[in-house]
Amino acid sequence: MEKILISKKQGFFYSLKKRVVSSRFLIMMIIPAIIYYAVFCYIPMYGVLIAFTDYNSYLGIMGSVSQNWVGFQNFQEIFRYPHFWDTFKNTIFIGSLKIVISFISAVLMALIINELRMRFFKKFAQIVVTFPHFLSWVVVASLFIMILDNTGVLNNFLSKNGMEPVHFFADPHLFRTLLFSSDVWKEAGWSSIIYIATMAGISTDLYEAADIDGATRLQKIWHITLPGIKPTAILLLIMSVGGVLSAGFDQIFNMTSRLTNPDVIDAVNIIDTLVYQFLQTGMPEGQSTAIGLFKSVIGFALVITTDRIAKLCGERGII
Amino acid sequence: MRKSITLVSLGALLSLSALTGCGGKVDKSDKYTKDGKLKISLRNLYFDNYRGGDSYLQELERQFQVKFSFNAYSWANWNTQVTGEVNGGNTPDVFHANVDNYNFKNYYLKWIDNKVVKALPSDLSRWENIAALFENTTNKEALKINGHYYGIPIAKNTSDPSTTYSPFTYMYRRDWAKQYGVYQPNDEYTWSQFENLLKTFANKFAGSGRYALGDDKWGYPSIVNFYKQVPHCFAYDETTHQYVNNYTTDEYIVGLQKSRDFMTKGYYYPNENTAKDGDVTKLYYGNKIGVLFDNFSYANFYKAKAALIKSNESVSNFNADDATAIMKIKGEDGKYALEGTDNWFSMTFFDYRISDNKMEKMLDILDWLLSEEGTRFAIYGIEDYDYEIVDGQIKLIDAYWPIDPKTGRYAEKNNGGKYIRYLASLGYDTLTYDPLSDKDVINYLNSWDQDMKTALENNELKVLKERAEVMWLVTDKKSSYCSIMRDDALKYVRQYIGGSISSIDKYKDKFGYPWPEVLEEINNYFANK
Amino acid sequence: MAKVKIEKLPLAKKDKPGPSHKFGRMDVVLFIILLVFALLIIFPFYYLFIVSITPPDIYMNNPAVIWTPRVTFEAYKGVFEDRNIWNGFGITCILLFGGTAYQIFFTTITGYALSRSKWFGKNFVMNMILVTMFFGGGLIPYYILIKSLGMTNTIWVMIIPGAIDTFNMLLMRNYFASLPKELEESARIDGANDVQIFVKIFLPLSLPMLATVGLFFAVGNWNSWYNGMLFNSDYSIRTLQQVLQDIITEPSANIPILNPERVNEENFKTAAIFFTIIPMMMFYPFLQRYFVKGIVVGAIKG
Repeated sequence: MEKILISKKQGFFYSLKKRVVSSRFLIMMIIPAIIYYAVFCYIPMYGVLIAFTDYNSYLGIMGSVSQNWVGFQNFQEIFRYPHFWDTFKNTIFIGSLKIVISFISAVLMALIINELRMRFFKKFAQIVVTFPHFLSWVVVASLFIMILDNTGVLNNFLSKNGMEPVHFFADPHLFRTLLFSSDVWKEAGWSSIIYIATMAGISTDLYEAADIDGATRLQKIWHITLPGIKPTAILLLIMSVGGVLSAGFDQIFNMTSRLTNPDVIDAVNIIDTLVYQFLQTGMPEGQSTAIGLFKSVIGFALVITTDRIAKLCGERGII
Repeated sequence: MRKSITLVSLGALLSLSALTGCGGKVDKSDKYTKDGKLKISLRNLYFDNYRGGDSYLQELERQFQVKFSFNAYSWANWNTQVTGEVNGGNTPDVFHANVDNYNFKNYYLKWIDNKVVKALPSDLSRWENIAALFENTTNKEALKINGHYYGIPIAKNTSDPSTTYSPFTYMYRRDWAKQYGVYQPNDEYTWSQFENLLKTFANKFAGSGRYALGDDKWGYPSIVNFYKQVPHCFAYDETTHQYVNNYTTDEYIVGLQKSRDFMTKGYYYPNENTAKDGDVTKLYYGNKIGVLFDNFSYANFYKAKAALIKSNESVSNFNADDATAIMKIKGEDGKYALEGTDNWFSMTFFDYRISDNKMEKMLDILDWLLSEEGTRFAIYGIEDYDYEIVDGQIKLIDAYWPIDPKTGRYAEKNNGGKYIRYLASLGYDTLTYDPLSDKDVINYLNSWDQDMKTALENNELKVLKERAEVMWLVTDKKSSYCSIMRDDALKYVRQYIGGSISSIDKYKDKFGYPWPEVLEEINNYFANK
Repeated sequence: MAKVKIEKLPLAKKDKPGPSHKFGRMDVVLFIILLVFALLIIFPFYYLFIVSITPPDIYMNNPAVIWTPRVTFEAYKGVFEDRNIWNGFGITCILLFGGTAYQIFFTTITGYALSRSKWFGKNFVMNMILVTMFFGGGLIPYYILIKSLGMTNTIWVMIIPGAIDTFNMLLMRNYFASLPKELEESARIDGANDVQIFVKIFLPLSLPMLATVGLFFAVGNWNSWYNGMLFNSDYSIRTLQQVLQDIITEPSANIPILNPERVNEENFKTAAIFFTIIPMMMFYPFLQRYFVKGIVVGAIKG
């Protein structure tokens, strides 16, 4: 009995040692990453403790923890703040719709480019549609405002021709539409690249076999191309679910003239803009950190859930 | 098994991180250059692109045996940068923060409490010019905590503290008013004459892309000013002796309806809600706006005049003075209305950790720059080199002050003294004898100032100002929420005028939590006192 | 040598993807849709350009210009003479070359190590990394960390904290994992260790993917401004985007004194925006060819 135990123990350490030695070069390659993530991601993580304190910059974070600990009081305060839940609902709505719309637009764009038979135009168009991705929202938003504003190029043209102007920046519903379309404008081409590449990887044998069966183009798209990009699509969707609660701060911030457009701001207020407002108006640091922590926890839970669902449906998850 | 290993390691990592987070005290003891000059780091918004290197700065540094380093805050991210520095314990020796925040007193107390800022010596008699500066500062009592000031308010006008209202007012196209026959002599308009002018402008402009009335973004809706008592949240009800919500008082609501009326009638520029600060002003420069509400400090007024001259080059006998006339409007109660402000809106702070020696040195330098001699140095330069004094009059030596071909005036010189002086004064006190400033503009603004002073004496001017006791009050809920409350209220006001809040009842409903609680807290505070 | 191997790979072989068809009615429809979308994207840039070359007197009277009878390039002259813009350009170039190389190096070796089948602690490290995609400590501890590392007011703060981007690292990992296992096995039989296998076999095969990830990093570096804004007060190390942002948000303080008859703030602003996107416009079409070919990110299947 004893002997077996000892030999088992020896076996464990022996195999451990063997495994470490055999993968020593890989471990060496991963060491920079471990240091990097420990320093830049894990060390700052103790900052979440600020959410439970009345933060004092002189005491520092640990000093505030030991002397100004307030428990869950910051959370109670933010949950009581009436705009918080409106903002939360808005964030979920905008964030999830954005994921859906950007997913559909990227796949459609990829299909169009993949299917089109004009090589020169195709290359040109692909360069054009991917390009806006490289611009920051500061620039893109000022472009949109210049063109679509009440007195911008579009409305100038409409009113000159005796048509009713379109108030993109005054009507909350139109503005939300504009938000989604500007996202498509900027990112559709870019996000389609990954799908185009995946489509390029689908074996041509499948298409040739379908040709022999006399399948139409739409049938081939439906039965070969779309299933071919499914794993990629699911992987990207799971990854993007974690970002639901982020919903695009940069975009909203700049499209609402630094959050000052009163006609539309209530329709697009999200958690990140609330945090920005808290920081700018001198709300206690503990409360803005609490909002951030709340957001992270929900986002993480969403990713885990989606991942489980994907796995239950027989797909490869990420975790 | 694997899960527990993961959890334990995660716990170990986090506690490690907590331990490493404790350290990191910054050494802020005095440091000297090789030739024995004390190093001082400065960061200020007004430095813009100035980085030193001129001979005036070298002279100043030699005189006081210091070595400055200059950095500027960026306009767009000023608050973010200051907050980052303060919370990260990374403030420079001398830094600059915005006081224009409604919640400033709360910050101020917190920074004192959290040992971010260093107190000035309680006895300022050694620095008589700085002491005089404090004498000329409005509401300075609010800044004195336990007998100390904790920073220098950067004041707008050191010589005349009696000006308690701001130059936030209307500029209009007198030439157009004359052309359309609605001009009133001396630019003085009663409320009905003003409405008539807007109506005439709006009719004449219809469909041409021009608009009768535009407020620069920060000041919109300016029409309400004629109907309210205080600029921000807390109005005082004389009958009940209670603080009430300014935005739902009866008089405010009349103003609100008036503004909405102007918007629907098409008097107002329709894009007020999407405009950014400065956009509407630019439209005025482009002949698109008839009446503009903005802040007409010297610099802005001069800029408007220059811009209008340029954009009307093709117009024969264009009169720039007619295009930049200040309009004097009396409200329905027969009074002018101007927002009351303090004469300072930002402060220079000293890092808590710097030595007394360094702070005194810095005060010596600022005190000298505020003196007669130092001011001359900052504006003109060095005597007998840049300027000479002939019969008590300052005369520039032309060889060193070439004319700038682009502006037709004396070229501006890079002078470090001027920038360091900005740490204590906005420079308004030097305008009248600055060779670069336009005397006509100064005289015109002064005459308007004088008119308003007379109106104040004759009880014809309403100065919108929150009572100091409530403005500087710091209580739990108020200090948390007042700033957000003001932002939200402004949003509702603009929504109502734009029409996205349909009725007054719905507008009033918007003022839910935390409004009643904060008002109750304030009223309880004064009741107990 | 490397090129030969790429051609041997089944996935990278086809430049012309998808099924082959004759030009049909559906292509006309697709052509029109794509053309409209492309025009919608081009128009704002066209407008931006027109504003930058419209003389102030015309622009002042009609800001909604879509055509100008007279043009002025004075604003571009101003931009080219602006010291701050060139300085920002220089700093951004340092980030673009130095930073990108540094980021590619660390991201690639990490991705490679995590792509290999089994080694001690792999799952643990992987989970630890994934957690960081969702949790962060917030601004204050990050600021304190950067400060205690002595990186404030240095150019390093815009490079070092970006060493590994988790998303790009996962792309690399998936790509490596998708390459045939036999490559590794045969090399191991020849007695090569992991580092040798990585450098001699996998790296040459992954050049297209390196180009892709490199472009991701390069674009990030080109647009980088946030860390610089927050941690650097020294104007001499502002990035191009920081300079541009200052110009857009506070023109009066950041636009040099110009001749107002020939050029106004709007000209200068739009010209400056154009200046920052011209390099991308010039290089992107060439990189793009390499890049789309390179994204045999079909690798993501791996």
